Amino acid sequence: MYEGLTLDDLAIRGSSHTPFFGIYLASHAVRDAMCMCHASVGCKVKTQEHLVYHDGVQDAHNRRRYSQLIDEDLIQGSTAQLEEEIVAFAARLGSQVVVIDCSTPLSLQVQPLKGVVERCRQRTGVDVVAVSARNYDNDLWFGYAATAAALFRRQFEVAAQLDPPTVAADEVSLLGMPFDRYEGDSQGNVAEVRRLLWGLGLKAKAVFFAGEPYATLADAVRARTHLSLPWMAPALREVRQVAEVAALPVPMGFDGTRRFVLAAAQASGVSSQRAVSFCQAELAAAKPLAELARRALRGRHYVAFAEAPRLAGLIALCSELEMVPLALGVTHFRLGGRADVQAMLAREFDVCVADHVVWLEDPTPQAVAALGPAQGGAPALLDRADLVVGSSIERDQLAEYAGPFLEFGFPSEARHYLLPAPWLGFRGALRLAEQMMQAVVARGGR
Amino acid sequence: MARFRPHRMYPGALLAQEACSYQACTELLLRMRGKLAVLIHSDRDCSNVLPKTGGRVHRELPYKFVCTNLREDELVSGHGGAKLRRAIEVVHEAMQPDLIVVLSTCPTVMIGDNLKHVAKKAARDLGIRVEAEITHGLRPVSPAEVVDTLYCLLARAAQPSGADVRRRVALVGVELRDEERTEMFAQFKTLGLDLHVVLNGSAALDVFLRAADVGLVVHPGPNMLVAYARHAREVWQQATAEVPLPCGVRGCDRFWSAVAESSGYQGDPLAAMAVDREPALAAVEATRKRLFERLGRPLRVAYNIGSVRSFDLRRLALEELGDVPMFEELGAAIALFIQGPQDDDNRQRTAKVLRDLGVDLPFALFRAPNSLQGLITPGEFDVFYGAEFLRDQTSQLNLPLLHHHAEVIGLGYRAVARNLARLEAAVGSSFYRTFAPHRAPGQDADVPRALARPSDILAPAGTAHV
Repeated sequence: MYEGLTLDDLAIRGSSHTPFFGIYLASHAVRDAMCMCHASVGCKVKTQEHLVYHDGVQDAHNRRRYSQLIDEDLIQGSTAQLEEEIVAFAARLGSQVVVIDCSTPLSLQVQPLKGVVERCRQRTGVDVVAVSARNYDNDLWFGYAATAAALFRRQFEVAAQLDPPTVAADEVSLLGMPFDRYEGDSQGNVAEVRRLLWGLGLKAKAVFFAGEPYATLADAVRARTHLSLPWMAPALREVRQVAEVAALPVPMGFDGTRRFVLAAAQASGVSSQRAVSFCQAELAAAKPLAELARRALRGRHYVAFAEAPRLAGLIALCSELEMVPLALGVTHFRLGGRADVQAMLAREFDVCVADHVVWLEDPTPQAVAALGPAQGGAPALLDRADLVVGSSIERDQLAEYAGPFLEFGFPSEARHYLLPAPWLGFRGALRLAEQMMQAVVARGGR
Repeated sequence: MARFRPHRMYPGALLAQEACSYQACTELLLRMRGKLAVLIHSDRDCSNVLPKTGGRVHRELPYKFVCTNLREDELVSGHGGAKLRRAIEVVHEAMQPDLIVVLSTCPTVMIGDNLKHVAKKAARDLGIRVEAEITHGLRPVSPAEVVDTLYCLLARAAQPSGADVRRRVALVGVELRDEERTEMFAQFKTLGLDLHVVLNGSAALDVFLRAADVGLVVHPGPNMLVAYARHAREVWQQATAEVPLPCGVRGCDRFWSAVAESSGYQGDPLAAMAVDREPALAAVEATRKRLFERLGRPLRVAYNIGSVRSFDLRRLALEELGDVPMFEELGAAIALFIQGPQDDDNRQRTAKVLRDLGVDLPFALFRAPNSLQGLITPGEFDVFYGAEFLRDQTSQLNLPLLHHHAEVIGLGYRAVARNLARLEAAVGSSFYRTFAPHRAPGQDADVPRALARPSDILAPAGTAHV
């Protein structure tokens, strides 16, 4: 029955980070959360390594514990041990929320956690949430979105037990913010998106996630409008069972950000005139700087790898800077593949990618490495590239490539930011253009 | 709550942290060179363990690690074995590795897939080398045990060639950088020995296959590589010698004295190595003097053990105490900070382990990485020698950290001066003069503080250490 099995089926891809990791990434993005892995000894260690090298500021391992599941627990039940660990460590670490993250063996055991969650809430006095995510068919972005959905839902459950909240007309909540480290890029994104919304007179107090204390998420129930970014897509249906949530385009590039602002205004009942005026002022200020970047980058050939929304936004920005794509790799899969990126480009950015561009979808390491550079044979595609943009994973897969490489995405282990370096919003477009420009110039360009 | 099971620990790693044998095997195989393919029989989640970045995976084939990527229906419907068999064929056809190592993980152990049988049958049918090992995290083991098991597995196929092996030596379980290896080769030669193979994390597969052709196996002790040494003695009739790590001049002296004794060297081994030893001794003396002048007292060192679930061979040797001579010869006051449960049982047990190793340094236990800040007062020590990932803790204490990694601290006489320069740079750092100590949120609060010597803990009631 496995006659058709190939080496590609056995390959370990960049997307092999599963929801188990995504839940960890999401709980890391809540400053006082503890991620409690219901797992055996290796699961915690093996996954935390992938984040501790990426986040150079907030040490990820300190807010993660594991239930020390052993063979006996598979027979006798593992929840008693899990409860003890939660109770002990929530107190020791002063955690305000505990997120339970189950590894694959637990999914085979099918042990319900509802009772554990209830008892732990009572015993610790803090919130406890178990995020359900199957590791077989999903990727890290599913885990990230599922955690956001679980914590969003939890805010409404808690609020339902209290007096009805006063809805604030000028408050919105924002779901699906990709916050992966306590450095200038993630924090810069949060600040920039809040600035864009404030340009419309809207306060985004509850951002899922922003690296802020858990208590800030409680403001979600007071928000008049709930907005979401495309990283929330895998769990959008779930949050819409709780409240009406508007899906917004990705605020990347200049035009993409303008469209985001207009869409946010429309969803929040802000006058379009106000949105247009805000964008005009922003774009007028950005134009000379964008021109500078365009002059440096136009005609440059690039290869880019990222998850679908980030890739679409990057392509849109590069298109505005008149850069030319050679190959585009859509990493992971739950946020979409090639067709989704193309649809996003058409719908949200008015951008079309030429037919001759090479596309890779959830590529194997071998497929990425095959882009080049040439090893004595026919010229490889990468020999023509002025810039490659991708995560540390693609950087390693292209170890032979010596040209300019801009580390962008998760993980980004060599490139760190000490000061704000957003890639979302108008300022993010300029910052990303600046990064690409510096990468090309620093390596001599071509 | 604590699930630390010291009674299950391997004797060579009594102070180490328990590990998942699957994770340990993959970490050990990461850097191993040669045409080696590792087939993980698992769902996708466990293949996530493998580092994808930092150039940490060395491979000569298109893929070093592959995975059967089992789906849920395959796990529960008993198709795992069939997929594994086909996967072995695919890997063989596509890459023709010299060896395929098959590893299991928790889910495949839970469903009871007999991967050893599948591997054995595939090897026989296809006429190839396939070795399978049951690995998982459901029964934690010590990292040293995994090293021993894996090295035995890799060396199993080695066959004696019939060559004269009397002067040939295998150095097993010591990680060496290029310059350290060069020095080792030269020093063994000085003693009339030929360092034939070095079996460590960066050794190539074919080096393991030459392991039978030596007369003497030198490995760190005590009790590390127990099964490997037994195999060497009983199957290959090799002599074995336990040695300390050659770290610092004293460590090197002990190392070479042990080698000389085991090999029957007639002269004074230390005199034979004077060219490298004398400059190292001079560097120690000069550094000791400078540090005393700077500090006005002996150096105070916080020495960290057990904080990394480490598969770094240097850390595993001598219960991580292999680097202590480097500080002892500087006249430093050393206190051990050992990660582990803080209950009385573990305190007693740890004291006994240290006593058995002849160590009576004061020690404290800390239960989690973020407990460390609660055990140390800012200004109490001049340097923290330990795991880099504790930097967030030492930063809160304004305590300079010297990473105890093989890339930072070298072995051998020639490395002594450079090691000391690094130590001095850390101690003399001006960074913390500017910034104040702080307490970060989310730290383990209320950590019991208790530095005590093993002799005090184990002393009969009414007596005390003097």
